[in-house]
Amino acid sequence: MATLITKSIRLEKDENDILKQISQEEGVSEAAILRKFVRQGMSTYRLEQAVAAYTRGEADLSAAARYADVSVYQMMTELKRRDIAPPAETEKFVDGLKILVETFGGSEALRQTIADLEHESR
Amino acid sequence: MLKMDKFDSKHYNIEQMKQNASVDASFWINICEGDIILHVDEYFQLYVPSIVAEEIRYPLDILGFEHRTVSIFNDWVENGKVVIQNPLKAVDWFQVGENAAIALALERNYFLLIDDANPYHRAKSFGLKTAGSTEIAVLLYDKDRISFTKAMEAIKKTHASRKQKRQSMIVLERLKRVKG
Repeated sequence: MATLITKSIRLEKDENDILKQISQEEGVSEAAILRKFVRQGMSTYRLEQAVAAYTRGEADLSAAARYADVSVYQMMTELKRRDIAPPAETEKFVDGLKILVETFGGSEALRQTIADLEHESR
Repeated sequence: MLKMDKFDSKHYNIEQMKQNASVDASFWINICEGDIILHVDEYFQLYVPSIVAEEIRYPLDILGFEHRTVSIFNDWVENGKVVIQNPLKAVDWFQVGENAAIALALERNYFLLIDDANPYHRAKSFGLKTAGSTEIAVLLYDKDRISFTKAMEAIKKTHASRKQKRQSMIVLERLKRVKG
């Protein structure tokens, strides 16, 4: 069994009343409820930090997912939900297309489309 | 598969041009979600470092639920379409999984298939050839491997930002117009 460390906190009366009410509703101790809320709060905090670092371009997807203790898939879903666009996204798309055409060939139509895209992004 | 399927509409022999590619989890997830994974095999022999494989398998191995991206991955590993291969040493930026995918591409001179845009400039500075799932969808449409509708659907289903999806769809629309 994991070692538990005692922390004491002071609550406002209304916070204490809500805690007592939730404890009765859930049928579990106030300490267990508090621990659950602390865990949820820490998870939310770490997810926010991870998303912020990713948005600034300071972390990649894997690092962000690991920090937030979620899967890469979950992290991708979260970023999609928040519609986060990494700084290099457009450049990566145009360069990727060019490299694929250089490697595998492509129609004149695609080459023209890429040239237009590059011209517009300048 | 019919022999003709090995040739695209522009008469390039795909078998001869098939490239080795190091894959990261973001690409794998999006290309499976977009339902165009079957065509990737025509252009690339895929190599996945074991750390990236763990990231792809996370939903099943850690969370315990079946996911399409995981079951396809396991099937492909089993039939050799995906080869688990590790780099000799990881480069020291960002996080271990991404390092492994980029390091493998660097060491073996592989393509890097990645949808995560954040490590892009680093990869580019090392001269890596890099592409993502939305670019693959456009290429497949250009080569008449998939229909316009299928390419659009593939882009819509990725986890890319709205801006990125919009841009990719505009490119597809233009391509459709120019192709006639």
